[in-house]
Order: sequence, then structure tokens, then C-alpha cells
Amino acid sequence: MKTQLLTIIMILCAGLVQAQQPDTITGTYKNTAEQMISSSGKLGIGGYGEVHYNQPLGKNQYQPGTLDVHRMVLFVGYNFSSKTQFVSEVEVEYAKEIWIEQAFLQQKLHKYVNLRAGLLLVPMGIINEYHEPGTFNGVERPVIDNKLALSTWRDIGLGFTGTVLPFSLKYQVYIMGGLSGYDTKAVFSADKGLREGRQKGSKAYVTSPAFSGKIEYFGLRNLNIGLSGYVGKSQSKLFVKLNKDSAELVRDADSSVVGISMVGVDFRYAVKGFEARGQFYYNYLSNTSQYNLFTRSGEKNNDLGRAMIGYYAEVGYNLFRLLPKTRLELIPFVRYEFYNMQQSVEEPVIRNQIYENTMITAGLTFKLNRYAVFKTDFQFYKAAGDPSWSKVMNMGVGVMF
Amino acid sequence: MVEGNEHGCGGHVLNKSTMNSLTIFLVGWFVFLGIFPATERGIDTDPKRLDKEIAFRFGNGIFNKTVIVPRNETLEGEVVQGRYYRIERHDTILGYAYAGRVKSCRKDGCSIPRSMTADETSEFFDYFMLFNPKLEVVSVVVYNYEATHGQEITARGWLRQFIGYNGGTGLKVGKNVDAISGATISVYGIVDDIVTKSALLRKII
Repeated sequence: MKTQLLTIIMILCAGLVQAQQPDTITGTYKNTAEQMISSSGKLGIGGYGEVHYNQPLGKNQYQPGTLDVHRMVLFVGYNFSSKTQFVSEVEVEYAKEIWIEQAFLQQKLHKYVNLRAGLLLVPMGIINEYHEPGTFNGVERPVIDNKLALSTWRDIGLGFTGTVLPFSLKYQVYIMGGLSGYDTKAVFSADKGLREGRQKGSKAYVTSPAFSGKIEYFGLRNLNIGLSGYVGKSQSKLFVKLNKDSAELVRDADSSVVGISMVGVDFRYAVKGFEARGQFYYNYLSNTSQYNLFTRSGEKNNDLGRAMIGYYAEVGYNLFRLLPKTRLELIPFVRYEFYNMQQSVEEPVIRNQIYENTMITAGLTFKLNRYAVFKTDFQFYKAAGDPSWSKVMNMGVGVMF
Repeated sequence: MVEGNEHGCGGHVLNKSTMNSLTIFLVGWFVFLGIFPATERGIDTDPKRLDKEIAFRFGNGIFNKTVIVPRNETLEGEVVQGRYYRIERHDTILGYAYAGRVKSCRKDGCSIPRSMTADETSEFFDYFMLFNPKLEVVSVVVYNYEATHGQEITARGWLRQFIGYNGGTGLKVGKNVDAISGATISVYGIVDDIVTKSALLRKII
């Protein structure tokens, strides 16, 4: 016991001694503007924004277009020290809804381990983490990221992240609050999938936590491969003030919950002006039979699928790479997407082809510099039973700073 | 009313045993943080990796590494966040090396320019370069990466494209240097540093 105490004291002293760093700054700086900015560079401000124009193209019907400041995000970060930082993102969607996208405290414990706690981005999908407009092609985000990876998906939780350089691996693993599945009525359905269940850190209620993690491998030149997973049960308001002894009510509450397992694989590859990326997502839900029966409205059962699948593949090439003098980039690209919200169903649900969709997007990304882009594209989409393709044209402006 | 229940106990509030585990977990972490306080780790400008790479590029055998510019020296009005070495074997100059830190910043948090020696950042990476006697780059290795994003620049295959760089403004991201989507800050960070530190070396030799 004494040796242990002594060892702990010695370690603490060693830690304190190491913490004393001699002041090694000897030089003066050319750029005095830097010194005028507050508190020696601890505060970080940035952001991004997107303005969109979506125009459905129809033959027989009048179709109004939509003009939208789709999102404006302000990033505010503060470095308390070289080990402790606070990161936050405030988002204004559709020019009127304010949401917090991220708000967490990060503490570096070790060069390979950082502790994070707060409102975190769920590490599913490429877009959830890399959603600045200059980092993806197309005005709108890929539909898979919207329907299956629920971008932008964020929840309050706690966990670890780090880059283990010797293995070229980056990891994230969190425990977080879950998706709301029942709130006086069903939140999930085949049409909306799980998307409406996002609580976004706003008075979120939790009846069972979820786990999510991602591993990225970046050892191969120009390639980043990611593997993500999510597992948890949906939350249900029926558990609020539920007496554990009332067997019937507990059974009801259980019927309003589905088990959610998600797995995703993604890759990004870029070499000499050519870029390719792809994603594959699979969501599996348990207990959908009970859920759909329990959440029926009148005679009509709910139609949430047991499994959902989605994938896309995209290629693009920077034409201006061949022009040595210019920083501009012109990237034509094409993306093929497929998703099925009812890849498989449990009784009593009958598959509906309307939930099996294919989308082809072809467009141009015009980059003025690293952080400012003009985008335009045409999208053709069709549900399995449709006789013809629907078309929509999109144009947009995106900036990050 | 539906029959049966696949779930067993179903979803329920964080129960007592979960709360206990969570409490023990949190207490354990705070004790851990207490025993291993957030100490300031300086830049390791003499990593073992450097010696290994020197042996790899310049042949096995003894060599002498002399520091010709120590860390935090001011050159041309700029404080150098690293060290320059001269590498010799029996009075023959094998080449030179630079090992130092590049301060990065979180993506979308880079608007306010940061003072180059603000130690208050946890976004950085450390790398070294080896030069031959003609001052051409023969190797670039990132030996420590602690920024949140942009880790793709550490891939050896990607760093190979700097071999042969002999100064000047010949490195253009998106032209002869492959850009990496999602790693823009680190890509530009290391390219800028390679250009400036190579230019500085030419001035001091």
C-alpha cells in the first residue's frame, strides 16, 4: 500500500515537472495583424453556407422551383490549452430554423486518444462528417446520406477518438442518446425511414443508449476507407413514468420500440485530378412486425421495413488540372444511387415498389478556390414501378471559411 | 394489443446497475486524468524514425547528425518550429534534414489567423524531410499526427510525390500535388511548410 502511494506521488511529481516548459519564444513576427486577434489564437471562427435553387422539370404540370438558403453554419471553437478544446457549430436551416450541429469538449489524453463529450456527429457516412459544400459534388447531398445515414445526424454522448499513426487508422467510438421511435404516435415509417427520430440534442429523452463507431484506414495513397456501425434501440415515450409492474403497459411500450443495427462502408479516392467515392449502407431493424401493428392508424398498418439498403458510386475529373496557371477547378461528375427502404419486410407489411428508388445525378462543380464553389446538376430519379424518370435541375452556391 | 415480446425487458431508463457502472467509469477516468495530468509535450525533433530513415536513404553505417539550426531560432524574421541537421559520415556530407511541427487548425475554424507559435493548439502534426547534398528532397515522413482531420497526408505513397523537389514554387496542389478531399488544410499546410523550409535551408547553407 505504501509503495503504491509512493509510486502515485512520484508519477504526479513527474507530471508536474514536465508541465514546466521554458519560454522558448525568441522571435518577433512579421504579421502584426495576427497579434491583434484575441487571446493568442485560442478562439477559432469559421463556417460554411449553401444557397440552393431546385427546379423540378415536368411536362404536363406546372412545377414551381424552390429557392432556399439551405443552411448557414457558424463554427466557434476555443482552445483552452493545447490539450483541451471546445468545438461548436450553430446552424441556420432554411433561413429560419436554428439548430446546434456540434457542441463538445475534447480532451487529449494521449497522442492516440482524445476524450469527447457533448453534442457529437454520429460517425455514419462520409457526409455526416465532411459536409462542407466544397467537399462533395452535387448541389444536394447524396440521397443515401439523407435517408439511411440520416445526415446531419448528431446526438449527445461521450466517447473517444484518435489517429493511430503506426497503423494508419483513425477511430471514433461513442455512447450516445438514441432515435425516438414513438412519441404519441409512430415516428418511423417506410417513407421517412428513421430520419424523423433524430432528436438533435434538443430536450432529447433517452430510454436506452446507443453505440456508434467508425474506423478509417488511410495507409494507401490517395484512398480513405471507412467502416461505420451503429447499434441501439429506439426510444419510446411510452416508457415515461411507466410502472414496471403493469405487465400490459410494459408490453405495449416494448411494441413501440425497434432494435436498430446499421453498418456502412465508404471510400474516397483521388489521384491526379480524378476522384471517385462510394458508399454502401445497410440498416436492419428488429421487432418491426410488432411496431407496425402497434402503430397502425385505423385499419391501416404502418409499413416500416425490416431492412433498408442504399449505395452510391460517383466519379469526377478536374478538367482544369491540365491548365497550370489557374487555381480554378471545373469538375464534371456523375453519380449513381440506389436505395430501398423496404429491402425486406416482416408481416403484415407488403413491399411497395414506391420505396425502391434509383437516382442518377450528372453535373458540374466549379471551384473558384479551395473554399468557394458554384454547383449545378441534373437529377433523374425513378421508383421501381414508375413508367418514366422524373427530372430536377439544381443550382447552388457554397462557401466555407 | 400485441402478443408476445421479442425484447425481454425492452427499453428502460438507465437502471441502477448501468448508473453504477457509469459512475465507476467516470470516477476512474478522473483519477486517470489526475495521475496523468495534461502535460506539455514538446516537439520531438529527434525522433527515432529520423535515424531509421537516414539509414534507409543514405545507407547503413555510422553517421553524425549535427544540429545546424536549433528549434525556435529566428531566421529571416520567422521563428522556425523545428530543427535543421547536417548529416555526415567520415567528413563526407550525406545530406541535410529538417524536423518540425506544422500547426494546423480545425476545418472550418481557420478564419482567424493564428500566431505561428501559439502553443495553445491541439491541431498539429510533426514531420521531417531529408535532403541530399544538392538540397533536393529525398524523403518526407510524417511521424506524429494529432490533428482531428487530414490524416490522409501521412500515407507514404502520397508523400512520395515530394521526392525530387528542389526548391522554387514548383509545388501546386491540384496540379502536380494530388489534393485530398476532406484534408485540404493539412495538404496546404504541409506543402507550404515543405516550400518554406526548403527555401530557408538554401539560405543557410
